[in-house]
Amino acid sequence: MSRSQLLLLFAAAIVSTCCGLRSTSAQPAVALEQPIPIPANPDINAKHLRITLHMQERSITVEAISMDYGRARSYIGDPDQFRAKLFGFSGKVLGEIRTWDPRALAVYQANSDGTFTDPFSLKQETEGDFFVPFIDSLTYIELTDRWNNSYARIDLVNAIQAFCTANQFDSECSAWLKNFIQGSTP
Amino acid sequence: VKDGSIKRVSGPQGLCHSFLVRTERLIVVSLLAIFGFLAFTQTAHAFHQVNVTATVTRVTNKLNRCFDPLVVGCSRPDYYAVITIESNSKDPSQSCSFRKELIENRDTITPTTWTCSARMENPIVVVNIWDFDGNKFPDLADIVAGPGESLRVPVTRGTTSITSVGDDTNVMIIITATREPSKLFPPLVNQREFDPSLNETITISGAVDHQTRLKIRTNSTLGRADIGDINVNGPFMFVWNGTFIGGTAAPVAIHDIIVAGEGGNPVISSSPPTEIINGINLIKRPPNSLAILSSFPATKSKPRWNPRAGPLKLEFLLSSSATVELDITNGNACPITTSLETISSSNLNPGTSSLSWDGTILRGGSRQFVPKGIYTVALSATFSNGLPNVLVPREPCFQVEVIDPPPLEIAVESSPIVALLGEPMMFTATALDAEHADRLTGTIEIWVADVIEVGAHRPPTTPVMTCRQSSVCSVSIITATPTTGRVAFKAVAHDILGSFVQTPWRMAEVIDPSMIGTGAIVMAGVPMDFGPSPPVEFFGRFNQSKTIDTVYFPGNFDMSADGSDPTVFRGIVADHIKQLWGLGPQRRFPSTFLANQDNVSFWVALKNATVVNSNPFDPDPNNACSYGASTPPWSEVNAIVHRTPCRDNSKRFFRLYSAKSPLISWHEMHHVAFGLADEYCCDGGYWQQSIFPNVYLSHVDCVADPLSGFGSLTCQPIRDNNVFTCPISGQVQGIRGWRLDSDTDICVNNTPDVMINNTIELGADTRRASHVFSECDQGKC
Repeated sequence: MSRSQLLLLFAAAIVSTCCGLRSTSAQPAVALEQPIPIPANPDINAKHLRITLHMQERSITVEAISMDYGRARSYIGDPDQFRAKLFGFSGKVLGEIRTWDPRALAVYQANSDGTFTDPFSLKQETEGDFFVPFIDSLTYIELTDRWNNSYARIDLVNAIQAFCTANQFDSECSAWLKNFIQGSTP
Repeated sequence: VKDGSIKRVSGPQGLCHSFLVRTERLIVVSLLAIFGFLAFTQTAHAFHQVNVTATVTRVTNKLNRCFDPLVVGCSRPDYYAVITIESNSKDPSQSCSFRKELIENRDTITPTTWTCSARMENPIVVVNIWDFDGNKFPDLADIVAGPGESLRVPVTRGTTSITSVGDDTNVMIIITATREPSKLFPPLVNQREFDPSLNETITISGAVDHQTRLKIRTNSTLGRADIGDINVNGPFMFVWNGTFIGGTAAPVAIHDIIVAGEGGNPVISSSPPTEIINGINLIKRPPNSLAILSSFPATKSKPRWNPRAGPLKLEFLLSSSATVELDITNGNACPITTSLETISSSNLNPGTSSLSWDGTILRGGSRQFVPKGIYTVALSATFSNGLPNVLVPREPCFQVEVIDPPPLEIAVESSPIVALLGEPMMFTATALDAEHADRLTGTIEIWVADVIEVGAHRPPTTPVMTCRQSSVCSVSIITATPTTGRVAFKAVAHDILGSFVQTPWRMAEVIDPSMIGTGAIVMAGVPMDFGPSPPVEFFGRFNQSKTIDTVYFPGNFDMSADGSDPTVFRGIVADHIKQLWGLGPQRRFPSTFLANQDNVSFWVALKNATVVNSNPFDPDPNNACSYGASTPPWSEVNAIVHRTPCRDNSKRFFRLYSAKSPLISWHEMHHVAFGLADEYCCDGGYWQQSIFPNVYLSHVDCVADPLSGFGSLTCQPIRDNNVFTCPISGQVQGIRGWRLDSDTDICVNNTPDVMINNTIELGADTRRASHVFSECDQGKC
């Protein structure tokens, strides 16, 4: 059986999923929508945004945002626990990242028989960098859980503008700046 | 053969020995030819040379008056002698005259110096006695019957005293005759080692210059004895069969052979004419034997053998020259009566030899590998000396199971994973079977190249190491690159006319030691995105969109160039990578990482990351490792490798985990890289991926998975073994989820699964990992 056939079977079979972070009986059904793919950019001129997050309970604050050259990591294998929707100037959804819950923590525990387990939990508070690829007319991202409950909307314009202003000869930056100057606003 | 007879000696015992024997034979034949010619030309004169001395000791005047009354003034005789020694051979006569010793006017004289000597064959002594009557009229004394006759005496051996009575004079002579010793030319021997019990002999060849009697004797540490007494003339050959005269066998020892001619002394070897042949080794050869020294595959208990990985080979020891055959037939057939194939090698020298079978037979005009099955292999030898054989083992015949080639994978590692400038690098390639055990392979090649060199159109054309019929191949290179830069390496493995696998070209960096401690992140095994046939300028390119990039950070290592910690850190990271390939060091098992190694990159950070115990005074779970690292934006996985006594943990959103053990890396990589959920109960993380999950949160979803019911796989609950009774089906409160990797209920302890006890990847795990890697192939990583 081909992989595409398996995918179809899965699509037909899976009617609901749940995150595993809650009890199975309490989870609402979630539509099996696929994430909007983010265009891959293997170009050596790939750029990324580094967003330093601080999350406490369900509250997210942004500590810093910066932009630089270099590709952003992929999230291809991640479970669907947390989402980052990427929006353009016109409010168009450019893509979606599905990834781990920022609070996810597995602490390994050695067992007496020499094996170990990795009990899983959600930390109350966490902090770290989240990398987002720079694409097209990216202006902001929205962080949600898998049920699309919004946690934060993060404006990226200032960070992108600062970087692109300093790198105007970069074709992607000049395109972004052109859009920005023409008055498109998030 | 009796002493003194001539016999053709047995054949040579080996090539070297044969050469020597042939050389000696040539010399002997040459000598024989020379002396044969001499003997032929001198046959008529082949008489004894004799040393003869004739001495006139007394002459008496019988007349008792003057000797010649007719002469005026007749007086007593004035005798003098003429002694001639003549021969009927061509030897010239020897004549002695003793006029100077004239003794005047004496009727009886007893001279002491009238001695004449000569050496010739068959001599005759002729004596005449004269009365000196002045130079013009000497009178010949009548010393035999009849006037005017000479005394003629044929010489006989020994001392003869003769008194001849003549008409007027009596004469007494003493003749002494001895045979002249023959000249003995140094004899030769055809071989210096022989075993009389095997009817082996030695032949002593030599020559004398005239007929003589030779005594031949041996002298050894065990005594001396005569072995021959022969009359020879000219060239001779003496064959010694190892017995003394009388038939007693000579002892096993090193013998000196003494050949003494007449006049020589066979006991006093220095007395000429005597020659000695030293060091003739009279031996007792052991029985012929054929002993198997080693074999591939091992001869025990029907070994499994893949002929495409290399030939069956038997190494054996021969006691003497033999023709050896390796017979093969199908089935259990010891001893073999009808061969399917025979490998033969004739005239093998004593010592170690080997025979091989490549697993093919002639079929339809070409050689083809035999089909899988049981085959019998037997070794036999036919020794040149025709004597009975002793085989070790008694019956060198065994069975092998010819198998189809197992699956083949290849891994290659560099050690160190990142090299310091001038530091040797060892590259090791390991061929693996489906279970990741070492797998014998026909050929393993290791290729190494300096990326800069290749980019400058100097690509490698040959591997730096080729190993045949091996499972592991290593090579150490002193200077992988002459300067800092990137060294590329890959491994290729292939069976004979069979499977071919290769790793991608992987790159590791060669750095200046001054870089240690900086924030640099360097390559420790990054596959090239070289493409199938790109120009060499593309050599060295990589594409992180196609790879899962893992960065290893040193946790609490002293990252200073002059310390040992950087080396320790690199070694630990090498273990983590090795474990990810499924090569140990903790456990061996198949790995999707290795199966998709084109999509796996390793990097190393050179700056230390601090790791502390978050609360060393509190019991679990509060003593988790606390750490931080400035991770690059592009790395999918960031591992802090450390030795700090704290509980490892993983912050998966930030792609960061700590690991003291390679197996923690093995397990955690399946979470971070593939998003797999835990499958053990009860405190793991349980979620259901939208594509190819390994855990379902509902039984309905699980049984709908095509894998469920595939083979022996069924949906099994992830639940507390202490709460429920097996088996359980349907949606049950308290069940964490459903797994379908195995038909083994989680109730059973130690169920092997990477997401349970960090062991093997099972069906759903592999499916998910393969899906992620296929996405990487499309540039989505």
